[in-house]
Amino acid sequence: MTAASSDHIKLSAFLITLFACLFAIGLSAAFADESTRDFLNGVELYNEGDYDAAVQNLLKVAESGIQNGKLFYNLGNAYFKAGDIGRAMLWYERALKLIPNDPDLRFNHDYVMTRLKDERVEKESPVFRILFFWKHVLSPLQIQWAGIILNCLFWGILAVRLVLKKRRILGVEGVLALVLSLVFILTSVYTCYENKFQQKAIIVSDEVSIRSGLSDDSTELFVLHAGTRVLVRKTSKDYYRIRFSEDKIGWVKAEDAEII
Amino acid sequence: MKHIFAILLILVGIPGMASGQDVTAHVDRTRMATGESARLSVTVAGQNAADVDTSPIVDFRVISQGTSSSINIVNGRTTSKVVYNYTIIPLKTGRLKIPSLPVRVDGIIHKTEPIDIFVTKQPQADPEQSDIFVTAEVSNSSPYSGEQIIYRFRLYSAVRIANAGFKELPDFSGFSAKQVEQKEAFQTILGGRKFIVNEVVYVLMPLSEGEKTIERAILSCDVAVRRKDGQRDSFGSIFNDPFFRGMRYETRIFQSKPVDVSVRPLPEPPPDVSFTGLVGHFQLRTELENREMKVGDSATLSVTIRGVGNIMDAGEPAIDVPEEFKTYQDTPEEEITVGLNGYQGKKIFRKALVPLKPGDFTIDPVEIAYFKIPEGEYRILSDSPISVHVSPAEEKKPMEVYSGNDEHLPKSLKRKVEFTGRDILPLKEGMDVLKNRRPLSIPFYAALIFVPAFIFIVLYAMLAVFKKTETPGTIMAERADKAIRDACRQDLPQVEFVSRLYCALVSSILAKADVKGETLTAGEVETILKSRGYSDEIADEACKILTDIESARFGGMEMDSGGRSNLFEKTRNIIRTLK
Repeated sequence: MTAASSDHIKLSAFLITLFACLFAIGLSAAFADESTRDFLNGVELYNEGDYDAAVQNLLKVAESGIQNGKLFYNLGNAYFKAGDIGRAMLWYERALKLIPNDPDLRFNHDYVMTRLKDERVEKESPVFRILFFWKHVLSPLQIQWAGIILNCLFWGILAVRLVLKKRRILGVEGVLALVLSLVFILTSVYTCYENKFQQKAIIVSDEVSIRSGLSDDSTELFVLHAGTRVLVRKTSKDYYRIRFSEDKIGWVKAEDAEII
Repeated sequence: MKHIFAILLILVGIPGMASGQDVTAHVDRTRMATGESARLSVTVAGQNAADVDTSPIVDFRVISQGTSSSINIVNGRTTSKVVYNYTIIPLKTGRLKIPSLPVRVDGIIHKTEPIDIFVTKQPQADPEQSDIFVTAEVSNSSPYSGEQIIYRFRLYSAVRIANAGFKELPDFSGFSAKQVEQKEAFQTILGGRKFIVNEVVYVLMPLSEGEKTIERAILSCDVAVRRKDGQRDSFGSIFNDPFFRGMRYETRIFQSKPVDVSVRPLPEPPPDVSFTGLVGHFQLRTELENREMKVGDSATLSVTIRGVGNIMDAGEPAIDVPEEFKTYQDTPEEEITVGLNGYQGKKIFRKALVPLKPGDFTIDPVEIAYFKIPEGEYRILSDSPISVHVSPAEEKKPMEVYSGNDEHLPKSLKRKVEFTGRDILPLKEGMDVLKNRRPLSIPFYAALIFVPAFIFIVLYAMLAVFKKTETPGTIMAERADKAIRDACRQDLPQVEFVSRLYCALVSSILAKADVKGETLTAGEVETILKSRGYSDEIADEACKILTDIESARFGGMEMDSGGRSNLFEKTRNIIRTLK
């Protein structure tokens, strides 16, 4: 192979890579434009009172992969106005996971709670809410970054003290940074655990029979209504094993409940 | 020869016949009447588990009563058997047959002998003559669609019983059934005999019209019966109590008769009646929290439907509120219980009314139509109209200022702020809605957490490596630099100042000798410096400065700022020279 042909192959490879990159950038920009258009259409339709169409447009944005608490809040609003209180609650709960301290979201969520038929039995202890206040103030992303920054700070302090040959490598500031970083890192880990193993779901059908087994012939144990939050203990084919309260456990069809 | 062959054949055949008799079936009676029960026992020799198939029995209802096993030792020979017990109840009269039952033992299927049982019609004897009997009845055998009826199953016993329990309950097909938790047990006198009556009650609601049959309920209980003569308990000496003596318990099965129910359709409601679907007996009450209101005030209008029947199906009645009021719906509240009279309770519908204009208004009476039982006719419930007087809202008074020593302070005018309307807050329309706020993935997050720790470990390792390459000379030179830097500080006391200068000078000279140490005499300084090739002048100058420092250090004379500065400059210069 000559040097000229080798150069030609290298040039071709470079051009193909360049075009591929440009194509990928263009494609992502196109998707971004489409999401923007859907979002603006959804807002316009909502303001015009066409709530069903607004839901469809906002859903398209959410289905494109965007996870944003404000988008989920808007979906909750659209569903509520469209008369679907179950899915309104579902999206408000999803939004609460991302922006737990948003006042508008809290207001709307609390209002929709007053419209539910089933009383929420298991409420979070105020003691836990005070002890782990940051979990209800910061979003999961903010907690993750707080953990990362404090962790860097801790190791930075350690490195400086090591270089300066301080007698005690872990000074007061090091201990403080370590405790704070551990708090935020462990909160992130617990949030991950909660999302994986302590899933919650919202009843989305108007009235649902919770049964003793995985068939329509099983005994009806109790009835839940749209918007009620339950703990998902087990998922089986087309059914969830749910827990509403200490003494109310049963199976619900997967189509009647959606994971938050 | 033929005889010998025949004897051998018989001897070989005996074990086969024995194994064929390993499984037997027998009943405790072969004559019975309808409504009675018999005990079927299938005995399997040995201790192996067996699978008895009772599906060929079609003329009887078969109820399993469990198994029992026994081991006998006679003359040193041990035999054992397992008995599978069943209760059988005839489904018709005549000569009925329990066919040959297949029993699988260790993978081999054995067959029992068929048994014939003669079943006669039950003589219409007065049940009150029996010691124990059961009945089943409904409160109304021809209810209307939507009308609740009460199903009562009663167990009458004039003798002692134990372990009473249902073997089979009717499935109440065609009805919605709810058992009444409140169980009844009472005494009654029938035919001059005292019976204890245990009652189980269900509230039934027909799901459709037409003829329906509630199947029979089957109950099993242990009945105390007197022992036959000579049949004494082998533990009689232990249980020598008159309470136990001469009595034993026998399991008996009782079944109620099926109950026929004919569900009638509701008659067509009159044309002017808007039927709500309520069937039973109900009352209506309408209340307004406050009949004297001001514009902007809020008052609750509540409509209570109370009664016996399908109260849970009550929908919200139409409430005609004048247009001058804004209304806010509240969630209905219900208190419904199930008792011996069926479903009863109340359902309350509430609305918050907020007047928008002053004046006198009338809220029209609320009306609901229901089908009244037992009259069997449509009735309309209505309450009287409600008059409301709305006065204009109060003008805001100018702010009054009260001094702290006012004796007659008016009561606080502050009021709790109440919602006058409820709705959700609007959409968030900013374009930041489209930014992805997804939390970091677990691997990426873990990497970001571990990277600083990794960098620190690398740094630590590097420092450890470099530390190993340090010589006593470099260490002492570093110490000299640090000490002279520290001595620069103006706020340092004199003792510390000269101590730092001493450390700096001695360390810099020891660095030249490449040894570690803390102190040196003037003679040692001179020897070290000369051996390292420094001139006599430099060695003498170093010895002189060392002597000056030691004088200041140990002499105790206070130095002025000029003296301090001079000594510092001399020390620094000699250290620079020695470098």
